[in-house]
Amino acid sequence: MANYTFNASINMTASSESGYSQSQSGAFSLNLTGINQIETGRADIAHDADYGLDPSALGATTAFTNGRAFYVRNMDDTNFLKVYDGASSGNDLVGVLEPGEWLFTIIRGTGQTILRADTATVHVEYFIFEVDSGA
Amino acid sequence: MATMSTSITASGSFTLTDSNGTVIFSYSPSFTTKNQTADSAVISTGEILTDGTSATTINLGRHNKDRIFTFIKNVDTDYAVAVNPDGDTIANLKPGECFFSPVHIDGAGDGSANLDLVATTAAQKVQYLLCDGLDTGISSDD
Repeated sequence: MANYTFNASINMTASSESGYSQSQSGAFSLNLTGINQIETGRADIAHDADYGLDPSALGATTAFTNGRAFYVRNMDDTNFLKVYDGASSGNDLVGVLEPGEWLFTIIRGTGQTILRADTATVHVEYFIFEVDSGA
Repeated sequence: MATMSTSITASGSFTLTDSNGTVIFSYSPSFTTKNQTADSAVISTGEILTDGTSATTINLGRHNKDRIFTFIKNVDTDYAVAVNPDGDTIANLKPGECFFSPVHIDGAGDGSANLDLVATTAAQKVQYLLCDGLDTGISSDD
């Protein structure tokens, strides 16, 4: 186990062609003590099977106990991707990502993060890590 | 016929560093959607005080519940706030934390119209920015 610092900032701007525009942004840090699981990389995600970003699916032996923070970006040019908290059969969608789009969230619980494409296989970029009880 | 055409830009920066200063990963994603009139009716933003530990609703009545670009930030100092579209938690945000996702609120035959916020222990302030996105056509619930 090791200690880490996670720094995040997010900005969203929504605009109308009328000229109306609104922005919000946020930035924060997490000091992570004694966490076991960090995974990052790229993967092909099929449309006919669930792909888990959970520790067991990635070969680790220790489950997330306090929750996880994760980022997923759809690298595909055409098809969209669904991101679930739990199995896709549970229909608990965290987000739906069109090509180029990404999401970031923190879910404090022991569930799995599941990716599933809709029409054909898509390529994704991701990271996921455990948050400790104090973070 | 009057129409509304909207777009959004979302950018982020995420870096994980270990105690030796080694960067484990660093990502800086960004995208901008095309101006779109289909499914686009509302940009809404504001600050809301959650109603203690009971669900506090951001009413999405005029939004396109099939996909809403959603930014939410806990701007209070004490407790975590859960983000629950249609009862399922998609974020737990401690003070200062924020999240962003294109969220599918409802499904076919599902009249869910709200994004609920639930604080632990006591009321907390939350800021939000919501903008309609294109419906992908999926029928699953959130």
